[in-house]
Amino acid sequence: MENQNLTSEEQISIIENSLKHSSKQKTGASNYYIIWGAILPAYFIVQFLNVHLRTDFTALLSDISMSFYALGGLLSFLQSRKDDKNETVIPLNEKVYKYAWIGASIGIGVMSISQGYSNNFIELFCIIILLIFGLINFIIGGVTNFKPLIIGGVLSMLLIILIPLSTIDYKFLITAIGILFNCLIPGLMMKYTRANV
Amino acid sequence: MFNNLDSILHSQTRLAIISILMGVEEAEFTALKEITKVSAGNLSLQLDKLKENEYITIQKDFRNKYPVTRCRITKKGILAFEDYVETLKQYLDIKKLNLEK
Repeated sequence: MENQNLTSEEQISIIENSLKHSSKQKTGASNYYIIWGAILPAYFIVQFLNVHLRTDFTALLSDISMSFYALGGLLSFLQSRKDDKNETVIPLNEKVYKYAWIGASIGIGVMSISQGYSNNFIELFCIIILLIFGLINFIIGGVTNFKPLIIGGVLSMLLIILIPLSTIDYKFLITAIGILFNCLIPGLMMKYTRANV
Repeated sequence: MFNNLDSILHSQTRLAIISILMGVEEAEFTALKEITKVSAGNLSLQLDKLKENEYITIQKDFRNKYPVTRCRITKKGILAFEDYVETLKQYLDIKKLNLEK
């Protein structure tokens, strides 16, 4: 690229091409969606099986399932280190994901601490997980123009209606399905389509 | 009448750099080099000129013992780019009017 005096058309073309390049940059968020979109449903399905089947094996699985969160944290940490190594451009959308999910983590953390005060913690937990995940993905999908996140977010929030109507085991199953809809499926679509998210 | 085009941005490489930085949070030197397809020396020169005029900030640090240079556009740079595009629009409108005559 030479430095020279430019015509108006050349200037417009430089600006257009450069902005196009910038808008093509992906955030790498799909990897986190896939990690947590697999870990959380696995956790909730184990809880469902434990309550539904009530065997020693499912009880053992349920005890082990708490470690899924640690596994998710470890995989996210490794992914972020990999991203730091490979990411040479940080897209503007990255801040949206960062702040939205930090907010969600604080909300879920506070809710987990307050479990002792609630009479019906499991129901509240499932509702709030689906509500937070649904709302955040709905907003992020709107901001980044990625429809699968919007649809997943709405479906996740609609599933909340079923939670008070179902038995305790199915509350877990519905939560698992909700997270599959709003994390794993959009995450896979993000990774394997050309969408700039 | 319309304003004069900003002489700092009136260069192919500097205009490309600022346009790229307008659309991202930050970009590394290697990414800018790859997108603009200019030599490292030339890019470095143009980045310094943009930095001198406070259109961008340049942060140098290390990652795995390798030096990394990160560039971000400043508020002044954003305003200058917006002014530049606005002036360019005025030029194009005048040109269009002349063609219609």
